[in-house]
This record gives sequence, structure tokens and C-alpha cells, in this order.
Amino acid sequence: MSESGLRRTTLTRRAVAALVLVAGAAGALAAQDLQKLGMRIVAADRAAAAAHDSILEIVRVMRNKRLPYDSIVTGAITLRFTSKDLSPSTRAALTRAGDATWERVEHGLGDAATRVAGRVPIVISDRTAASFISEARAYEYMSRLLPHIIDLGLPNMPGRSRGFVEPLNEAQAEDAMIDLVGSVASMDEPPALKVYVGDWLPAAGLNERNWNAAAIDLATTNASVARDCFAGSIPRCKSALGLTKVSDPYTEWYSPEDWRVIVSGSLNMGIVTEGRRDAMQACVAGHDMKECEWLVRERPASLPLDMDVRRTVVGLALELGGPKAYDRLVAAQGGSASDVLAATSGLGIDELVGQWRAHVLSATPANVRPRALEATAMLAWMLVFAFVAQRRRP
Amino acid sequence: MFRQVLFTQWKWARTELFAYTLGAFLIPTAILKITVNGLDDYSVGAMLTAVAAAGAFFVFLAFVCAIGLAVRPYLADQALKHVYSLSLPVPWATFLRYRFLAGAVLLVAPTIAVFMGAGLATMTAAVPPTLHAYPFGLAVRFYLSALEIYAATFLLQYVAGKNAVRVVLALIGVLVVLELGSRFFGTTDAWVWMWDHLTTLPGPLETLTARWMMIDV
Amino acid sequence: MTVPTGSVYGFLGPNGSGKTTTLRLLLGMLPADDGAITVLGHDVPLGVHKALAKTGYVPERLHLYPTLTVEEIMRYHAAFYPDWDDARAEQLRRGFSLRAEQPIERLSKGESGKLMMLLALAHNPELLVLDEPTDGLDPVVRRDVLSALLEYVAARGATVLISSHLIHEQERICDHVGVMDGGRLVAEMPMTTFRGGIKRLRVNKAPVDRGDFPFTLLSRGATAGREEEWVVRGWQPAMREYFQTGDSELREVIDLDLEESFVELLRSARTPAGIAAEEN
Repeated sequence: MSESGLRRTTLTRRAVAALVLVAGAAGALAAQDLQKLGMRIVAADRAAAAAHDSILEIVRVMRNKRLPYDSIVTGAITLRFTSKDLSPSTRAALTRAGDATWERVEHGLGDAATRVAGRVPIVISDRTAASFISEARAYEYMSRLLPHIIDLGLPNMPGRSRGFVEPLNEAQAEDAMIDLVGSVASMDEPPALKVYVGDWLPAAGLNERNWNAAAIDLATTNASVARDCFAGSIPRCKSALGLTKVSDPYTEWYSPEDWRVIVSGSLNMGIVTEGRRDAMQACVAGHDMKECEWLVRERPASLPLDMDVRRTVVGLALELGGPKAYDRLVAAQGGSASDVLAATSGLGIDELVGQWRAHVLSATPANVRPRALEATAMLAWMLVFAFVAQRRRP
Repeated sequence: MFRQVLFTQWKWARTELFAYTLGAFLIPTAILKITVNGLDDYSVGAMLTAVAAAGAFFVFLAFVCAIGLAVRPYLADQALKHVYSLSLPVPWATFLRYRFLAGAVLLVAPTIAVFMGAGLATMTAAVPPTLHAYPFGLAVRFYLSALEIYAATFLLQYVAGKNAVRVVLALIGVLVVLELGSRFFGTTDAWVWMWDHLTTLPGPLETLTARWMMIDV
Repeated sequence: MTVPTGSVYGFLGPNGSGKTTTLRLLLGMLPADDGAITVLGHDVPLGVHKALAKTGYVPERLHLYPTLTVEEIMRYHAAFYPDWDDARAEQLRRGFSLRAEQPIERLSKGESGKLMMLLALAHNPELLVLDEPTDGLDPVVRRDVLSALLEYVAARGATVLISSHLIHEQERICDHVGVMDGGRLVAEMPMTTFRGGIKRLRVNKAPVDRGDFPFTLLSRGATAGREEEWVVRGWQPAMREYFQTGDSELREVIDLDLEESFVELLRSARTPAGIAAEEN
């Protein structure tokens, strides 16, 4: 059955279902109020819509099954797609993005690059933008107005796919591919590392942006442990990065002043547990640190530095470890996160963290002071504008 | 010659210039007093958020100063249909160079005020040890950005003349059409392409997207 | 158009005839579509700033920044002119009774005219280009301004190009005259020629124009019977003989005053015959 035929049949069925419901409901009007009836009709409509979407999905799968797979191969990366609609320009853009990704992955994973990148193909599918919108049935006209979405994803790994509007932005497609390869790379990571950085590894190395983000996080987090790390204490850096055992994170990571900041943040955002307002206000006013501690201990202690920062340690370990670093990372299955990172980098953990800290401090993002190139560009524009202005008499 | 051109431009713009300079000096302190010191406690994140938001003020001030200083002398000449300027015994390009340089010199006043104001503000605020104050960097960016906007306004006036307003409106019209196109027909390409080129080096608007923060990591 | 060095050249023409445009072209303020302009030996617009350094210009309307004071505009102006004479400027300021601290926007029309003349004269120009310099001034101020101008010309021997529609004023001070109409230079001659050279003739049994008139026929028209009234330029008494051949009879030669001459010149310039006559 064609897709449009199915759509018509489904719509007819939904109309009949709604009519039956309304008819059935009519007799019970005396017993049920209109609100309940409305709710039942909405529920029936949702069920019909779900069925409709499922049928469309089946049709799409069936249609795709009839089409032969096509693929773009760049290095060890395979981009697989079935759609007839992938335009030549999109294919070219995907090829270039794939080439760039492969180059970075080869550098990031060394000897393991081919094995990791070739393990799972990246699947490209396309759909209309309207399918992103819930209750798309009400906005079907949008599918005519909005462009196609090119989806980049991994088979059996939903939630990691990224959609792009044509014409494809190559840099963003490259980011998406690196993200997907990073997910593949994490498939064999030791359990301790999975807990430490999640299902993703920096397979393509680290860039300036990653280090800048880490620098900002380290400088801005409200935790005394991060400030101590910033000031030069490697043991405190390890603690801030979650690489040491911590018996009482509330006191080891945070100072009483930090507790007050945490409570104040909650209060400012209006997150107030019932019956705690007075205690929170007393804490924020600085009258009673015991209140602060009590309030902070009521919530889970979050790691001072976020997961992206921890990923920079992993990325650095892979970089410092050379071509075999990834293999050593996979081999260190039983160790703690600290052990895995030491094994990956081939360095002691203190040395690794020391190098990480140096990297972070030197990666302070561009501040307001104009860089030389920026200043030159501004002056050049100024001169161009002034020169052109002088060429014309009023 | 240049001194006299500078004097006249100063005389025409002195009231606004005084306002810009005073604003540039007082507002950094006011921003920090209201936003950062107004916070309940010492919070690095909150401080950066407040300072980043306040950065828009410096962009605004740069625009106002630059456009104000560029427009004043032009309007003075335009009111006389440029007859006096054209009757002076200097090549037109030389005269315009003096005009331009005089504006560039006058822009130094609010720039110094930005430096002193931001310096005073950051000295009197409790800057966390992991952050730094950048009053000089802010002043340099302010001056270069204002100079660029000043030059662009200068160009627009002397090239488009009486049509300058129409040119600006036409540019806004193009932006609106691109925006509508991107909203309703998915033609994001032109808009994104243009914006990307304007706001990334060596684009002329790159400076607007920079971190205009007197306190930063 | 040629302005002889050392002359006082009156530039006549009705309002809108193109006098101001011509002066602005001469001073390089407007781009010329065609032709060549040389002022004080400098090509315009290429070397116009060199010519402007030796030129005093008084435009039709006040062209000075209104927020500056008299003293400030004098200082400003002086900075651009290498030959600016401070003492002379101060002397003129006092002579014109201008207060140094007076803002230009508060000057009366007469004071504005004096200030512009002061600025035009204080840098010892070789050429003065004056566009309706006394227009709208009361007689006392007009006399002051013209006296200052004439004194300067007498002392310095400068060339003056003065545009005006006040013909009698031009008659007093100019030794050359050019007449502009509809954007064209209609006539250009010494003032003496202009003053005495245009006559109205009453001719009986007027001859046919065979192109051999010894004068320039500006216009002709029938009056009564076979009598015609002619307006001619370049008239000399000896030309009476021309009418003594054939049946024609010159009954009367009437002198025109400057204003009438000017009007006749313009009238003739606006007819095809007049244009042809001018071109001949």
C-alpha cells in the first residue's frame, strides 16, 4: 500500500473512532461531565495518532528496505544512506566533513583509529523538518515550507543523532561526526571511565574551544578545591577532577562560604524546599554557617568541575600517550579512573594532572583585549572606510 | 590647520562629549555596584554573568560616541551645503583627513574615561582570585571599535550624502527580508553566510561579538 | 568667459541665470561637465586649492559655521590661508564694528555681510569672487562693504569678479561686464561698450537683413506704418551712413540706460534671431 493510501485509511479510521466515541459518549452525557468526555476524545485521538505514526514508520522502513544502500567512505569512516534525496552538494559536503573528521580521528586515536571508526557506520537519513514538531499533523503545511533535515546517527544508538538543514554546514557536520565516533570509541572503555566521563571519548583530540571551556569552568566554579587547583595544588586538582577518593565532599570540595553561595543560588532561583526558607535566609545572611552546612548536606554533592572538563583530562591522556594510548585505555579494564588515565598517558597521575593544569591555565580564552590580528583588522577597516570617504566630494 | 578643525569639532560636540565621557567614567562603577555588589554573596559565576551583560553597555556607548562624533561636523557642513569647506584652500581629501583625525582624537576622551572608570570600578570591587580585571584591554577595544564605527559612519555620510538615511533603511530592509526568508522559507543560507562573514575575522563587525568584559577569567 | 587680470568684472544676469553656478564652477565647488577652467594660472579642479589660497570668496548667503564666534571663525579661517594678515583682519573687524565674541548665528544680515567681506579681504587675495555681496544689505552697510572692497582693489590692484543683479551698482564699480542668461554667457564686453554701445534705432522703410549690417542687430519690430524699431549693439555714429543707401531712413538714435541695455540684451538673447546674432 502506498504511503498516501495508508494515510487516507488511517485518517478515515481515526474519524470513525472519534465518531464512535462521540456517539457512545452521547448516551452517557447525563452521567459524565463534558470535561471527562473531552479528555476521552483527546486520548482516543492520541492513540490514533500514535498508530498513524507507527504505520508511517513501517512504510518508511519498508520503502528504505527496497532501496539499495549507498555509502560515502572517508578513511575508515563509512557514511551510509538509503535516501534518493541526498543532493550532490550535500554528498560533497558530507564527504569533505568526513575527510576532516577522519584526519582528526586518526590523530586522536592513533593506531586504533581504523578499528574504532570502522566499527559502526554513521547512518544518514533524511526527513522533513515538520516531523520534528509534535502534533505535526496540525502543521502538515510546514513540511512544504521547511527544508529537509539531514540526520546523522548511529544504528541502535538513538538519542545521539543530530539533524541539519540543507545546505549542510560542514563544520557542524564534522562536529556531529566526531561526536558519533567518540560514542563508538567509548564502547570498550573501562567501567570506571564510563562512570567518569560517560559514553563518550574525545576520539578526535582536543581543540582550543575544549580547553577554553575548561579554563572558564576552573576559574568560575564556586568550590574552594577548584580555586586551590587554580592556585597550584596538584592534589586539589586531582580532587576537583574526581580522581581521588573523597570521604566528605561537602567539606573537602567546598568551603563554608561556598555553601552559602550554593544556598543563595537556590534561593535566588526560587528553589526553596518547604519549611526551609527561614533557614536558607539565615544562611545567606551569613548568620549561621551550621544552617548552611545542614542545607547543603540535604542535596547531593556535585563534582566541582563538569564532565566536559574531565574529558579534557582523558583527551590529554590520549594525546600524551601516543599511538598506543587508546589500546592501553581499553586494556586497563579493572582500574580506577585515575589508573586508567595514568595507563593511557603512560605518565604518573600527578604528572598528567600537572600538565592538564598547565594546559588549562594557558588556555584562558580571549578576553576583551583585542588580539593583534583583530586590532589589525579593525584598523584596516577604519583606513579603508576613511580612504573611500575621501574619494568623493559632496 | 588641524588644531582649528579639532577646535571646531570639539566645540560642536562638547556637550555630548562631556556626557559620553562622564557616562563612560561612572557607568562601569555603577554596573559593578548594582550588579556584582548587589549580589547577596560572592559568586564568580554571577559576577561574570553580570559583567558580560554589562558589556553591552560599552558596545552601545562605542556606537553612540562614534556616530555622534561623526554626524556633528557633517551636519554642520551639510547645513551650509559644504560651501565653506569647499572654499577653503586645501585639497578636499586633506580637509576630510583633518575632519576624520579630529574625530579620532576626540574619541580618546571617552576612551580614557572607560579606562579610568573600569579601573576604578574593578579596584573597588572584590574580584575573585581566579578572575582578572581588564580595564586597559576594555579601553583599547572600546577605542578601536568606536574608531571603526566612526569611520563607517563617516564613509556613509560622505559617500551617500543626503541618501545616508535611505541607505541605512535599505540595509535594514535587506536584513528584514533575509530574516523573513529564513523564518518562512528556510533560506537561512544568505543570512547566516552574511552574518558569519561580518562577525568573524576579518569581518568589520567581529569586535561586536567579542567578550566586552572588564572582569574575566 | 575671460576675466582680465586687474579688472573689476561685473557678472550680470537675472535670478536663476546660472551666475552662482558659474562662480562655484570657477572655484572648483562643482564639477564641470565639459570645458576647461583656469583661475590665476591654475587648472580647476586639479590646482584649485592653489588658486583658492589667493582668492577671497563671498558667497550669496552666509556660509560660516553659526555656532562659532567672530573671533573663532577668524582664527579658523586664518589657519587655512598662508597670507592671512592678522593686523589687517583686526583693522577690518574694528572698521566694520564687529564684536569678536559675538556668535555668528546672532549677527544681523549686515554684520554677516561685513564678516564675509572681512574674511575675503584679510588674506590679501589676488582675486575676489563676490556673489551678490550686497544683496539684502541696507544702504549704509552696502556703502561700507563696497568702500572696503574698492579701497582694497585700489591699493592692491586685485581682480574682482562680482556677480549681481543690481545693475546700477555694477555700473559704478565695474570696468568689464558679462551677461548670463539661461546658463549661457550672452555677452561679454568692456563696461564702456556696454554702456554706450546698445542703441534703439527708429528706421523708416527698414532694409532687409542681408547679413551685412555693420552692427549687431539684437531685435527689430514694427511700430507704425512702415517704421521699425531696432535694438543694436556696437553702434558707432559713422554707421548712420549705412541707412543712407536705398530707400531707408534712420529717423532717430536713442541712448539706453544700463538697465534698459541689459533688458534689451536679455530679450534679444531669448529670441532665435538674437541667439543667432550672438553666435555671429
